[in-house]
Amino acid sequence: MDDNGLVAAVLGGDRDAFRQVVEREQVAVYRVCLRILGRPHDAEDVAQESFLMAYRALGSYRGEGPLGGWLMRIAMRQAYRRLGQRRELHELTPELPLGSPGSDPLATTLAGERQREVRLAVAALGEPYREVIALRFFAELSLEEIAATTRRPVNTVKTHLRRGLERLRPILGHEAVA
Amino acid sequence: MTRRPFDPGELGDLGPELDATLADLERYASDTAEYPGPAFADHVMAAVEDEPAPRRGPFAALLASLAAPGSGGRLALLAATAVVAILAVVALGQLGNLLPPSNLANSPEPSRLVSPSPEPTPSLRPTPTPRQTRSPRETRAASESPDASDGPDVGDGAEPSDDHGGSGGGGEGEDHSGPGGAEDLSGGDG
Repeated sequence: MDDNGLVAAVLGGDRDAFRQVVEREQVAVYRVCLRILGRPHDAEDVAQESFLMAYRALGSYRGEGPLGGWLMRIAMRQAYRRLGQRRELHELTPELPLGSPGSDPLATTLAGERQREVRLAVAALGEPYREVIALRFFAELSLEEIAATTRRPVNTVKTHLRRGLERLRPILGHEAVA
Repeated sequence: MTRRPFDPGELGDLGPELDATLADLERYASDTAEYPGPAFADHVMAAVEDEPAPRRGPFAALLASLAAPGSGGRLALLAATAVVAILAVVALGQLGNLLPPSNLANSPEPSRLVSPSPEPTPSLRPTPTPRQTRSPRETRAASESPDASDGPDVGDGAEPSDDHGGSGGGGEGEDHSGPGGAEDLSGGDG
């Protein structure tokens, strides 16, 4: 069933149709939350919250872009909101690296620190650059999907992405490479 | 879910200066390609069970999202704002109906539209008709008639096109909209 069919079914009272949406999009939504928040527990919490918000607001989905992209934007906004709240409370809380950086403690520490730098560098970008960077690298949407989701022309999305990358470069300490 | 790595060709000629930045982002995405817990969907559906079925319509969706726990104040504020806006529109519409078309066209200031003119309009605009010299009685009757003032005024001088040149639609903004209603609602409050 396509996006519009699923949405119509949910709006018609079919909750199993919404389960299909959740099962289809859960990995992508969870990952975007994890990449923004850096902590699996927080990511799962915000991802669940995002699905709930999406369910409540499903009637406003206009079918102009992919349902996954619509969900992703909800999740991103929720995750950045949570990140903002968390910063105020736990600015200096150390974080363990995600993935499997290896058994070397130094490598593990460096990997965790770099992940944190990348995550916070993207979070520090202004809009619309942060959104486009996050939709492409965190949500892994194609440029066409981003354009449809944000209702911007593809060329505008490309411009925002390029400028976002250029703004990230000095934050991540890559000035010398140029 | 398979990853969709970034291809530098997506943006055309990016140049080598962004290579390290792209590598950092790609490495980060690769290291964080994890999965939610096995009961994730069940937890979501358990939460959804307590929710009323969603309904189509942006306004209804917005209200539903604002009705989330902790946003009752915003909901009340939104409802009050909507009521005031509707009443204002209705009141303005009725005022517009009370005013003669010539006033609407000639006065750019809103205050002039609502302030009554001390001079009766019909007496200031004598209509030069041949009958005026023949019979004062007929002239008086013509000048008191609302129809008499309508004709010349419209032709004289009103420039309706000036008044209608209001600001056009907004251009393509940098957005916010956010994901349709969802973006709006998610952007509004959480």
